[in-house]
Formats: sequence, C-alpha cells, structure tokens
Amino acid sequence: MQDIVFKDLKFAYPDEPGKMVLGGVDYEANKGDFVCLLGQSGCGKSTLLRLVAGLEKSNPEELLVNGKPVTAPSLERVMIFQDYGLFPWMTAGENIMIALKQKYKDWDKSQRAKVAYEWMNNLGLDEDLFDKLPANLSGGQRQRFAVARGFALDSPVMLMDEPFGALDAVTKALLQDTVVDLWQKGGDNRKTIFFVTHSVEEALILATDIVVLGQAPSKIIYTHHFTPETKPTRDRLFTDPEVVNLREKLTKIIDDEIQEKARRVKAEKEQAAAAGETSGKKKH
Amino acid sequence: MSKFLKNRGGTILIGVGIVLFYILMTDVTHIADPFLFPSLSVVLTNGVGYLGQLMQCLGSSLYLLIIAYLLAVVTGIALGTYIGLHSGIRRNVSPWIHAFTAIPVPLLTPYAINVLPTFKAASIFLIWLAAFWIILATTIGAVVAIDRRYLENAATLEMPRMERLFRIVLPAASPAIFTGCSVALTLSFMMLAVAEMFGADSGLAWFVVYYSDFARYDLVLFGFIFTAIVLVLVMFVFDKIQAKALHWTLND
Ligand SMILES: Nc1ncnc2c1ncn2[C@@H]1O[C@H](COP(=O)(O)OP(=O)(O)O)[C@@H](O)[C@H]1O
Ligand SMILES: [Mg+2]
Repeated sequence: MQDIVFKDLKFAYPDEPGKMVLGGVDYEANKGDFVCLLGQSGCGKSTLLRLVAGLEKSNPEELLVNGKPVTAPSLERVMIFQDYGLFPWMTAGENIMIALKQKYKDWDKSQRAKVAYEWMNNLGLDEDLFDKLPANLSGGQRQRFAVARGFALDSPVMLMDEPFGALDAVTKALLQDTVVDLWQKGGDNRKTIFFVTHSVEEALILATDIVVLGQAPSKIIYTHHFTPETKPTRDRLFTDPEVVNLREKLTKIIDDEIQEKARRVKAEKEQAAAAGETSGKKKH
Repeated sequence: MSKFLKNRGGTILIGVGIVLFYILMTDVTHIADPFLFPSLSVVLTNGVGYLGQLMQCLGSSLYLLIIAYLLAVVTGIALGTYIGLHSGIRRNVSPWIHAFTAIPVPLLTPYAINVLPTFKAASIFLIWLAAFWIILATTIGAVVAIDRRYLENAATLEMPRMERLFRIVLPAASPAIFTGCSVALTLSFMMLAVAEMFGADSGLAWFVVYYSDFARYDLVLFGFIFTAIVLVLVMFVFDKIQAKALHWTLND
C-alpha cells in the first residue's frame, strides 16, 4: 500500500502567504500509478511535487502518503531534479554511490559500485562515464545518471519534475521508453511515479493517469485514467483516433486555461488603471 | 617546455623588462640615486653572502605565517559555515562582523604586543586576525549563496549532518571560500611584515628593516628580491592547491 492522498490540499509559500498557489487539490493515487501532471506554467505543478517530496510543508490532514502526513524529505520519496540532480563536484559515478550510501548503510564500497554500474548499464551509459564530472557529460547523459540514481535508490515513490524538458527529441523518446520499461519491470511492486511535464504527448506516452491543473490558485480541472488496454503507445499517438481525440481535448483544456488567464490578467490591469484614474481625479 | 614558454612567455618578458629598466636607470644612465638604488651586480654579489641569514629569516617568517594563516583558515571556515547555515545567528552577528572587518589590524599591533606574553604570540594573533575576518565574511557569503537545490537534493537523500557538511556544503561553497583565502593570504603577508617591524629579531621584513637602519640598501634590495621570490612560490603552491580542489569548476 503506497497510496498518496490529497484532501483539499491548499498551499501558499510562507514568504507570500496571501498568494494561494494550490486552491484545494483532491486526488488519490494508488500504488504503481504513473501520474502525469499537466498545466500551464506557474500553475503549481512543481509546488505539488515539492509538497509530496516534503520540501515544502503541507497541512497534515491534507496530504497523506500511506495514511501518514508528510513531514520531511525522505528516501522513500526520491526526487529527480531537472538541472540540479547531480552534484557537479563529484564524478557522475560518485553521485550514484553517495545516494546508495544513504539508503544501504551496511553496503561496502564495492557493493555500491557494483549496483551503480548495473544501473548505468540499465540506462545505456558506458562504464567509462563513471569517472567523468557532470560538467563533462552531455545533457542527455547527465539526465540518464540522474534517472539511474533515482531508480538505484529503489524508492516506492518517484517524483520527476520535467526531467526531460531540456533534451532533444530523440534522446527524450529513448529516455521516456526506458523509464516506462523500468517502471513496468517492477510488476506488482511498481513504483508510484509523479511526473510533471508541459508536453501532452509525453503525458500520453508515459501516464496511467493524466491530471490537469488549472490556473493558480489551482485545482484539478481534468483527469483521465488509462487501463492497460487503452494505454496509448508511441506508434498509436498520431494514428489511433481515440488517442488523437484525447490529445486534442487535453491541448484545448490547457489552451483555454491560458487564454482565460490572459483575459483575467488584462481585466485586472484595466481595473487597476481605472482605479488609478479615478483616484488621480480626486486629487484635483 | 615549449608549452610553458607559450603560456608564460609574457611573464618572463615582463620580468626581463623590469630588470632591464633597473639597469637602465642605474648602470646605464645613472638617473637613480646610487645610494638608494645600487647597481644590480653589487646587490647580487654582496647579497649572496647573506643567503644563510636570509634562509633563517625565511624559517621564522614562514613559521609565524603558516601557523597563523592555517589557524585563520580553520577558524574562519568553521565559524563562517556555522553562521552561514543559521540565519538567526547570522542576522545578529553580521553587523559586528562588518564593524570588526573595518578595523585596520595593524593599528592593534601595540595592544597585541603589550597584552600577549611573547612577540611570537602577538604576531600570530595579529596575522590570524588579519586573515580571519575576510575568510569569515566570504565563507558566510559563500554558504548563504549555495543553490538551495543542492541542499534540497541532499535533504531528499536524508544525508547526515557531517556528511552533508563535508560532501555538499563545503564543496558547493569552496570557489568563493578560496577567493577569500587568497585575499587573506596577501593580507597575512602584509601583517607579517608589520609585526616583524615591531619586536622581531629575525624574519624577512625584519631583515629589510634591520639593514636599512645601517643604510645597507644593497642588502635591503637583495632582501626584497628574495622575499618576492618566496611570495611567488607561496602563491604558486596556493594556486596548485586551489586548482586541485576546484578542478570540477573547469571543463576538460
Ligand atoms: N519558493 C517560492 N516562493 C514563493 N513563490 C513561489 C516559490 N516557488 C514558486 N512560487 C510561485 O508559485 C507558483 C507556482 O509555481 P510552480 O509550482 O513552480 O509552477 P509550475 O511548476 O506549474 O510552473 C508561481 O506563481 C510561482 O511564482
Ligand atoms: Mg515547474
């Protein structure tokens, strides 16, 4: 049982308590779900992930993992960061090793190295990259190492915040397939994954569940669940009419939100300008 | 060797230029006062006989410098890291650190010499102080400026405090800390010279002051040249250590 339950989750950052970021998120993820979070930029996707990770403080009743409130970051919920996943002062291999050291305290160095090499292999990384510094790897290799590190920790929950956002299309597709493979290999012990993306296609390829967040203070405005039978594959993405329909629908929902927000911002500006004018007149 | 010449040819050229300029001003045109600026050949031939004494002076200078500087590095980084990681303490002590940094340490020399029992203790204290504040201040700044995401990354790994300190916090802050340490090294040289001008009976600055009292400007100049070579070597060692520690900031 590794359920993650959001019960009317509300959140504002402590330094801006007046500005609600999440305005009541209700959701329940079951163990082994692959949840993709979609939504316009600034709607609170990263914030939601940070709350699950325990990097931001949530209300104890509003966010439960395995029935328990999230109080602090934990090795049970590993986060894969987009650009800061590897410490640049350690070699890529050491980055995996130091993570393994925290999780498996009784392992010796050779055991850790062995597992690190195994996961590098799983992610298609050459052994001689072990001793390279992150700065001397390509963006794709760095992200592979970050994913290798995440999977090596073997946590029941994985949180990924636009991990492939900066990669070229080919590398991105390869890594997406690898992640789905590794996740599926878990069988009945599959990890629960929360994956933030701004790409509808990426969500369709990866997710068992798609969740769309509305504008801040955000709530969930749309969810979609795939069964193993309806789960889209890469080759059906542009041919299967059902998938094509869903893709258009999701794109439209997100676009509508963006336009709605633009209208609202414009209206607010006009209102503010009008208020400025009247107060200006009063002075005379 | 040819690579060295390609990279450092300019350095050598500037050195040759300075020597030629000195020869031009003394032996060739006699513009410079020969009493204060003796001919280079005189400086070298007379100076060589004092090399033994200079080596002794070097020993006592380095003794003070190394003890005081290392003490400053350890205390400055340790305290700076602690203050940097605790924002409450930082708010309260920062104004004081700024205030103390503003006091020119050489002004404290008479106090140190009178309060502390020996000249050595007083010198070490003064050199330590000169280096300490800048290391403390840069370390605090460096720790505060660490990208939050590295600390969060370590937090999600549940890294224990000590490991987090030595594997994450200090490496992340090390580029800025090294800058502070390098400035501190220059400051401690200067403070060393000031301290030796008061109660010392040996040391590189002492050598220069001592022979200038006898108007032996050939030896004064020789002492300068010797000291300059020592400084270059010390800085070279510092740069090597820094390059090794910060190798990850340079791309292959
Ligand atoms: N550390 C922070 N402090 C204050 N506000 C923040 C912080 N991080 C993000 N925000 C704000 O919260 C909102 C949601 O941000 P974020 O979760 O990063 O959105 P997304 O990932 O969907 O683009 C934005 O308005 C952003 O400005
Ligand atoms: Mg984001």
